[in-house]
Parts: sequence; C-alpha cells; structure tokens
Amino acid sequence: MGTGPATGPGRGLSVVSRALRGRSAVTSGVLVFYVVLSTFFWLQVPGFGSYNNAVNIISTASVVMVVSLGQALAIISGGFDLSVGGVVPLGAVVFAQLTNGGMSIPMSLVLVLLVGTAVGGINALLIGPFGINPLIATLGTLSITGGIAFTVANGVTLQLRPEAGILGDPTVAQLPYFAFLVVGLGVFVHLLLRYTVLGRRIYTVGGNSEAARLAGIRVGLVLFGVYGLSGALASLAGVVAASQVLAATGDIGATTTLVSVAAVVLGGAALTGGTGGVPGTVLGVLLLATVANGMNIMRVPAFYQQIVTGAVLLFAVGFGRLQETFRDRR
Amino acid sequence: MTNRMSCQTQLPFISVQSVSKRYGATTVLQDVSIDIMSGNCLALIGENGAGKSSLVKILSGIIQPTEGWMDMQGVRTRFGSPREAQAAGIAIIPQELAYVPNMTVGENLLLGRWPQRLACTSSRRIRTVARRLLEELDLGLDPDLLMTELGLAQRQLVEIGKALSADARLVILDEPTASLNGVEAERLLDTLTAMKRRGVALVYISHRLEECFRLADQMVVLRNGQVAARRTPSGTTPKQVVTDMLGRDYVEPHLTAASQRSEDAPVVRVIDWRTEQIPRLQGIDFEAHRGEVVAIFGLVGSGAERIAQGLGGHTRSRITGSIEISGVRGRPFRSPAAARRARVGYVPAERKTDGLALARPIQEALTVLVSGRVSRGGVVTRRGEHRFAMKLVSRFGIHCRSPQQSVGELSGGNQQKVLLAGRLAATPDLLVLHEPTRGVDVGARAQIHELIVETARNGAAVVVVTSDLAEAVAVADRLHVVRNGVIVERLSGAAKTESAALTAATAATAATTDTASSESVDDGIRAR
Repeated sequence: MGTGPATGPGRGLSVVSRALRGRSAVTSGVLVFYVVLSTFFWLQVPGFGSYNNAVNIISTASVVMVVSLGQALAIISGGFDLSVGGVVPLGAVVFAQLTNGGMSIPMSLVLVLLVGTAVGGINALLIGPFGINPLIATLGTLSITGGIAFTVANGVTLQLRPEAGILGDPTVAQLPYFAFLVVGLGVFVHLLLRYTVLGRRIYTVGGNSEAARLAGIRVGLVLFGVYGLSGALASLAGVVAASQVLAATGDIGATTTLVSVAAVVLGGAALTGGTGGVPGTVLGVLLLATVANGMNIMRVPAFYQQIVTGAVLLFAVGFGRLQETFRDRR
Repeated sequence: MTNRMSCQTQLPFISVQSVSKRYGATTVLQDVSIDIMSGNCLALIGENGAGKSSLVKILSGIIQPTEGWMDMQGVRTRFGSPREAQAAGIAIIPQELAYVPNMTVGENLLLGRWPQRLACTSSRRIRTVARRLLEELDLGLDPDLLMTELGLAQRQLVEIGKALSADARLVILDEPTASLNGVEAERLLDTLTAMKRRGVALVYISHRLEECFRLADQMVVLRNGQVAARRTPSGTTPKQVVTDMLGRDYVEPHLTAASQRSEDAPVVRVIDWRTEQIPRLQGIDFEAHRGEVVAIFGLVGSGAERIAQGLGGHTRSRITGSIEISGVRGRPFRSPAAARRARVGYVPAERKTDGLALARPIQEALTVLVSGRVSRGGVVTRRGEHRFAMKLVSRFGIHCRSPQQSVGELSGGNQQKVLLAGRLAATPDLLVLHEPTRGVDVGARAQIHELIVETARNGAAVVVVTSDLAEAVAVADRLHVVRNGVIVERLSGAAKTESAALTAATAATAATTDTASSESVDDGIRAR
C-alpha cells in the first residue's frame, strides 16, 4: 500500500484504505451497524443519550470487556477459551472468601490472579503438549472451574465487605474505579498485540502454527502466555463483577463464555485464528452492551433480548461476510 | 574461502550417519549416509515415496531418526526440534510453504526474528529491516504487502528470502521451482548459485532433472528409502539417473502422434470467455472434439488456470461469454455441479485440498461420482463399492495394499491416479485436467500421460491445462498457448515443439507480470 497512488483523487482512497488496513470487512460492517443502531436508540429511546446512561453501558460492559480481551488473545492464537465462564465466578468467590477471611485486598487480588493464571496454564498444557483441541480442553476446564466455584462458595451467595468492593466505588465523573481499570487493560492488551514480540508470535501461531514452529517459535510457550493471560483477565473480571453487586456466587458471570466469543467475532476475528485485535473486540463488546441497554430502557422482556442479541450477531457478521463474498466475485 | 583452503582435510558441514526412520512396520529410510559440504549443492533425487522428504525433515529437526545420527564438524548431533536445527544454521523451505497469510511480507520474512528491544517491536522497525534485506537479496518485493496479495511465485520468494536472511549455512529446498515460471525459476537458480559461492551448503530436491544437473555438485539417488546411487553431474546422463530412480530402464511413453479427432460437432466449444479478475481472460475461444487431447499451455499468471477452473465450474469469479456442450449453447458453468450435469469430468490442480478427502478410503474416492452403481435402494453397499474399486485399481495401476486404505497414505502419483480414475468412472464426455502431474514422480507421470491419451482415444474429448511445457507437448494433439489472457498460438503436427510453445508463452512475460501485479494491488486498495 505504501506504493499506492499518492496524488489526485486516489490519495483520499489510499488514506482510507490505509486506515482500514488489517480491518476485515466484518469490522467495517459492525462499525456502520453500531453507528446506525446508536443513532436509532438516541432518537427513539428517551434517556438513552444521557450521560448517566453512557456510564451505565460502560459499567455493564466492563466484565464482558475484560473477559473478551483474554478471549481475543485465545481466538487470535487459533484457539478458544471457554473456561472463562468458570474462571469468572471462581475469581469472584475466591476474592470474597479471602477478603471475608480477613486478608488484605491487594494480597487477595494477587492470589485471585494466580488462581486464574494457573487455570490458564492448565489449559495451555492440555492444548499444547497434550494436543487436546482447545474447544474440548477448555470445555472440560469450564465445567471443572465452575464446579469448584460453587464448592468454594458452599453453594450460597457470599456477601462482600463494602471496603472489598472498592473497585465499584464511583470516582471522577461518576465513573467507577473499574472503568479506568478496564481502559488500562484494553490499552495493555492492545500494546501487547501491536508492539511486543509475544504479540507477533500470537498472530503467527494463529495464522499458521506450523510456520511458527518452523520459524523456531516455541508454540507451547506462546500458548502459556495466551491462556495464562486469558485466565488472569477472567479472574480479574470476577472481582469486578463481585464489586459491582458486593456479592459473589458460583455462577456470577457464567454467561461470559458465549458473549465474549460473540464479541470477539463481531470484532472481526476469524475463528481460524491469526486475525482480530483489541479495537474490534471493544467495538463488539460495546455493540452487544448497547443493544442490551437500549432494549432494557424500552422494557423489552429478557427473552426477546436474547433473540435480538443472536440476530445482531448473525446479521453483523453475515453482512461482513457478504461484503467479502461480493469482493471475491468481482 | 581462504579458511577452507588452509584446511588440510575439509570436513563436511554436516554428515548424516546411517540414519533409519521407521513408522511401525513401515521403513521409510534405511541406513542412509550422506556428506554435505559447505559451498556445495547436493541434489536429492528419487521418486515420490523414495524417502527424500523424510531425510530432509530429519536434517531440519522436524522429525527424529529411529536410528543413526548426524556429525557436525565432527560433533555427534541430533536435532530435537526445528529450533535446534535452526540454531545450528539449517533452514528448510518446504514444498508446502509455511507462511502466515494475514501478515505482511516483512513480518513473514523476519518470522520469529523480528527486530526487538526489550521484547518490543513495531511495524515500522520490521518494515525498515525487511526493506533493507529485500534490497540486499534483490527480491523486488514490497515489504508492506500482505502475503495474500502476492502470487504463488512471490510467496515462494519470500520463503527463500526468509531462509537466506536467517544466515543459514545449510538451506534445504524441496521442489522450489514447482510453481515458478521459467523466468522466475531462472532467477532462483542464479540466486542459489550465488549462495553457493558465499559458502552456503544446499540440499536441492526437484523433479526437474535439468535443474539438478545445473546446480548440483553431487547427486544422491534414493529408492525405497535407501541410497541407490551417488553420482556427479559431469559424466552422468539424465537417462542414467532416471534408471537409478526407477531401478530399471526408463521407457519413453508411446503416445500416438496421429490425432483421432472425430469430425462430428465438437464436444465443447468455448466462446469469447472474459473475466474481470486478475489474471484476466480477454477473449478465449477454442473447441475440443471427441478423440483428441487439447492442451492449454500457459505460465503462472497467464490466465490458463482460469480456463481450467471455468470448464470445471470451479470458480467464484464471473466469466462472461458462453460455452457450447454437444451443440447446446449456454452460459459458462456457475458451479461444479453444473459442469458435472453437462457430463464434464474435472480434475483440479490441488488434489490434496480440492480433489480428495485424504482421510477417507480409496474406494470412496473412486466411487464418489457413481454411488448409484454401487448401492442398492439408496444404500451404498461396502461390497459393491469394494468390487467396483478393485476393478479401477487394477485398470489404472494404482499401487495400494487395499482399496480400504486411506487416500492420504498413498504417494502423490497414486493419489493423482485415484482422483483421475474416480472422475473417469463417471465416463464423462469431456475430461478437463488441470496440472495433472504436478508433484508426481516420473513413472506415475508417464502412466498418467498414457491414461490421458487413452481416454481420448476411447471417445472422450480431453482438455489438459498445464504450465509444464514437456507435458503439454507430449500429450497434446493440438496445443494452444495462452499468454496475457488470450490464446496467442495454436500448434499441431510438426509445428508443435517445445521451443515454439515456450517462445509464444514468454514473448512478453516481463511486461505482462508487471501490469498484472500492479493492477492486483489496485484491486486490493479498492476492495478495502
């Protein structure tokens, strides 16, 4: 593209193409869809456009956002991390038990992160050295971690000490602490993917794992990084979820598995690996959260929301695929 | 160089010592020993399944030998992984290219070795280093293009650049010229010769013997996993090498020179085919009659492959114009099913991805188009399938233990025969073959050529689309040469010679490739 036309009317085109470079047609489709949808809600739904509601959307999207950042790593590397749906509640209940047991908050956070990283490490072990398909491997650990979460909570709802829910306390402009945490994590993962050697390796492993192996990349180590980070992020998402409601149960955030996969795919990642990124993932999460929020205000019953969410996913991704098909057909 | 001269006895860069490789009861390599000298090229020659690939995989650490070891400058070595081999200065360019499609040329060139500081890297730094390397290697590639935006030949060049830029001291090339056109292959051989002068050792695998003779300092012929002969290019004839490979004298396939073209209306008539997509067809007209083989010869990027895909309905791009099948005129096929309904048998170029289900048994591949004939009341009977398959296996000379063996276990040549036999089982009126002997050994190649001619003589019309010059001339009754999306030459009888065809095909290759690639880049921009 660097050698593309640099003068005349071609120039604007080249700038646009450069800006969109690396974005799949799916992402551009989703972006258009998101703008149209937001405009619709803005005009049609009273209260949607208020600042409070924006804060509301950000808050509800936070847990899914943190999980999706890890899910994006897994999907870019050519895999899946279904276990997040077990690790989120596990992180939440472990955090609740530790802080209730009198441990300091920073120490509890460190232990929670260690638990999440350990689950991720086990996933990487199952997928790399043992060669189990990521879908199966993390489906197994999803069930196991979910079960452990219930066991740790003794099957009841654990109350969180108010000071342990500090992440949920409002700060400047009514935004809770965790909103800044989420932004920080997003920037961190984005920089990781864009500017670090590990990031390139993740794309390489996902794009062609045999090429990665032949290039002397230790695929097993890269997978440890990917699933370890995904596990850590999911456990942290559990703490965020618990701090929002000052309580933790064995199934808090258990639905994040499918929502995070949906968000990452909406963000333009291919399930075959090697593509995708943080900007697309953020877009995917925001789209799903905005749809849910708009319908909540419109008092659409939850079961209809479920249908609409599925339709949005298929429509947005299908639209992008159609674009690609037409491009190929020319 | 001076260092080496001063050495009294020159040690090989690496020497393979009595290496064997077994998978269960199957021995793929048995007691193979070879020496590879720095600055020399060793050509590894053998039919498919002779053990060449296994040997180079052991050399590059992809697989480990069952017995034996390697000596590197006197030190006993075994590579546990490609990483270890790479650290020892060994790079392999496999036949199935190992690149990352969604990354740029620069990222692929430096794959795994991106310029870094404190574990960080950036596109800009990768681009800078890549651009410098590409200039040094004189590869003429833009580091910013995505691999998917490149043609096959250019992707190959990136792979070669990757090995060279890793400062490899031994580079193993497995069929590097299989998908390159004459000019590109020529350029590659020059690059390799220059590498030899710089003291790099080469292991070269190719079915094209003339390349081996040009490049190699020593030739090792493998047969059934053992060293069958060691030769030097001077004082050896290609014929001797072929004899070594086959273990018997090579008989030139006897192809009937006189066409037995029927005078009826043609089976197929292609009328004014055009496409928008690169490589672009710009008005293709030809016809094929019962009893004759029409070969379409064109180099990579000439548009020839679009003709094959169009005849098989195997294309997503729109072809305008029309096609007449046995006198009935219609639009070009929009799907493979449409081609099949018109009684066209289509053998695609990529047998592994487009032709065969490698994990399924041979008998299924042979009966897939004729399941009605091996079923009763809509239920496929294993016995009927087996019996039908046995007939085809013996008729087409497919070497297998049993038709229940999976297709993937066969050698390339036998896979190709299975694919061809499965298409012929449906007795098509028109048989279309695209690159029918790509990556196939000499013996199977001759057999496939005989089968092609025999199919025509038995009353079908056959169209062979190929970038293999010798093949085009050998099988064709009439030879059409495609360049830049048009048929530029129609040759038959005594005029049908390799030099005439090649001249027509290459006349403006350089100019054509240039416009083609710049146009495809523009396409890429518009598409985004």
